[in-house]
Amino acid sequence: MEALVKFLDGVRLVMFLGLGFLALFHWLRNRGKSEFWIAATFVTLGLVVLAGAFIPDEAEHEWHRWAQKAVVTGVVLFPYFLFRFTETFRAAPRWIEVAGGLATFGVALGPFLLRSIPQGGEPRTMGFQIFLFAFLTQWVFLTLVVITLLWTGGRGQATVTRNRMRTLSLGAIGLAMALVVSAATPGSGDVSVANLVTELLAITSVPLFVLGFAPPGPVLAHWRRSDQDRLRVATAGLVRANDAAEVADSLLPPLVSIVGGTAASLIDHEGTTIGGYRRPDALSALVPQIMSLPMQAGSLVIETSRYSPYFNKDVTGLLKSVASLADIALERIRLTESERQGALELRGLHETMSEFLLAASHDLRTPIAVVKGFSSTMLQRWSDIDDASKVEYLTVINRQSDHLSRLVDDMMTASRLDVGALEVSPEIVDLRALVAETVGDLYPDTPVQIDVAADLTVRADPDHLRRIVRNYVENALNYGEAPFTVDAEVADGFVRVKVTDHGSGVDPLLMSNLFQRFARGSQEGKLRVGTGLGLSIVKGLARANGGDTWYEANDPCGACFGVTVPIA
Amino acid sequence: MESQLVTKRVLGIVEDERDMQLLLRLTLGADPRLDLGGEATSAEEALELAQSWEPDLIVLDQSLDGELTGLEAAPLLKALVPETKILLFTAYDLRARAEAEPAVDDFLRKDNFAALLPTVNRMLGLEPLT
Repeated sequence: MEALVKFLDGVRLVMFLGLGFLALFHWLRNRGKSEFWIAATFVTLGLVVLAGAFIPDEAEHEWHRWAQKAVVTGVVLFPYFLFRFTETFRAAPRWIEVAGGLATFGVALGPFLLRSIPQGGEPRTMGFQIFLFAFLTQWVFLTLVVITLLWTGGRGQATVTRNRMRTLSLGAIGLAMALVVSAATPGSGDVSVANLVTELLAITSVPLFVLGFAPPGPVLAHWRRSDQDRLRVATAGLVRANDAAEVADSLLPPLVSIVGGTAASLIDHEGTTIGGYRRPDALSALVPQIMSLPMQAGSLVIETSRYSPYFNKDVTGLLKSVASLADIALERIRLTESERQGALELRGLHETMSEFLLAASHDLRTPIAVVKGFSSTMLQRWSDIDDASKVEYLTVINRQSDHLSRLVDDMMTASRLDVGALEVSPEIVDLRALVAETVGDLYPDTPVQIDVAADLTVRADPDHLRRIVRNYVENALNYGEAPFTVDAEVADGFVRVKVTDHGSGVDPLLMSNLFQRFARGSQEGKLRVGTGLGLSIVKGLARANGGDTWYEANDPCGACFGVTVPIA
Repeated sequence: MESQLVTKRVLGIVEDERDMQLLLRLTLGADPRLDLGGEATSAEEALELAQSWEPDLIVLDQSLDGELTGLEAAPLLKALVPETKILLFTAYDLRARAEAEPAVDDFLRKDNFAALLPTVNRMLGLEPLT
């Protein structure tokens, strides 16, 4: 038995020294507050054990006695340092802090007030008994506080954090029990079962402490297994995610559980939340630590618990891979969306083209039919037709050919406007002369009042301006009622040319897309003049010349189509 | 002598475009068996005049002056003059819709102008003009 206890004594010495070195190493590497207190705790414990091994039980010199007292003080400090470590995460109530501090101070002074510390077999003096009671009370009290803080703090934390906090608690329990057993056994000088139990409890506490503050990789991996399984399921879910919110729904809940966080969000480069798990206002009273990981698409922000930075530090690597996965999923969604948009645009373009072809084929067929009909009839029955009729028919052919030519021009212009290939040759144009010529050429017999100042000049491509005016005037004559007017006024560096009539005006249903293509009432509808390109071409030409078009109802009745042209 | 015994077939033309009206008159008027009974530029006008024309056949355009289209007017015309044949003659591709409309007896697209007189003759049961 004695040999066994001696052997265990040696094992304990080595293990506690190792523990001290490990804690010191961690502090040197990380220099955090928590690391400092854990190092203080276990370096103190290591020194106590080391000193205990070298200081002889029988004090031969005065310094032996002082050394023994110092060792006891070290033991007194141990639970206090551990308490300070737990307080780096969560402060204990003020009275506990004060009571713990005072008790530690008082008990630490205790050995120096005693004449000597009785060794095994020596009778315990009354003073020593009182000290021993105070010492055990301080130890048990602080250890209980530590255990409570760590154990309750572990609730709701990530598996790794919780397990580490609880193994630390268990280690503290083991050591406290060893101490209590050792102190409660009246020293007889003989090695007893109590000595054996003390050794075993102390030795057992070491691996528990190690698991608590420096768990080895395989243990961490084991603790993380269930989290990683959840993450795997979440990753599979990413493949099916259709938008950022679904990416967040799939990925963030397991992520928050892995880091023991409270909430997480995916944030884009503009700072807008594109997906989140639990809103910030749903956070618990715990003040969270914010952890932000950069991503291609923005950042992944996690509100972790205060325990995470210490107990779950190595989770960062995992988070980085999750952020990359989220990036890949978001990129895939973005590509799919842009592909879908592209397909929609193409379909829209295709529909527009089909409409255009339908309208164009109809509008081309009528004049072609007339030209073809008259010309073939004249060829077949040339000698039967009198001269006056011949002239009449040729006039029709001529007119319809002009109409055809204009339709083709319109189509070409529309197509050039589409690809931005319209050539503009601006000149200084006498507006009144251009309007008079255009209106007079077109409808010499129709009274259109021209109210344009004689000296007004604009800067525009005359062909384009002519087409704009002609289109407006034709529309007025076709759809409106007399009197018809073309007038112009100067405003803000532009000339505002207006063509007005006194008909029923434009149907309000048509107003919103009046200047868009195929804005005619219906495909086989009542407004049949032109290709449905007219007003869209007018707008395109006006803009190409630095101006714009608009429509307003004429007061009190009729339509007013306007165009702005830069003043020369 | 024989032609005098045969009753002329009366045609109604519903077409809003001036040049096309002239062409229809010229082409259909070339057949002595046909009589151009009346012309209208809108479906409304045609409906008003149909009973006084008593036409054997109406050549009906699709897009017209007024509110009604040819396809919309066809059943109304048929109701007024049930014995009258209706030919929908338009630049639109409306064969399927014309075939689905029982009031329309036949359909011809305007660019196939050469087929107009033969189609009218066939619909009236007349031999092709030589």
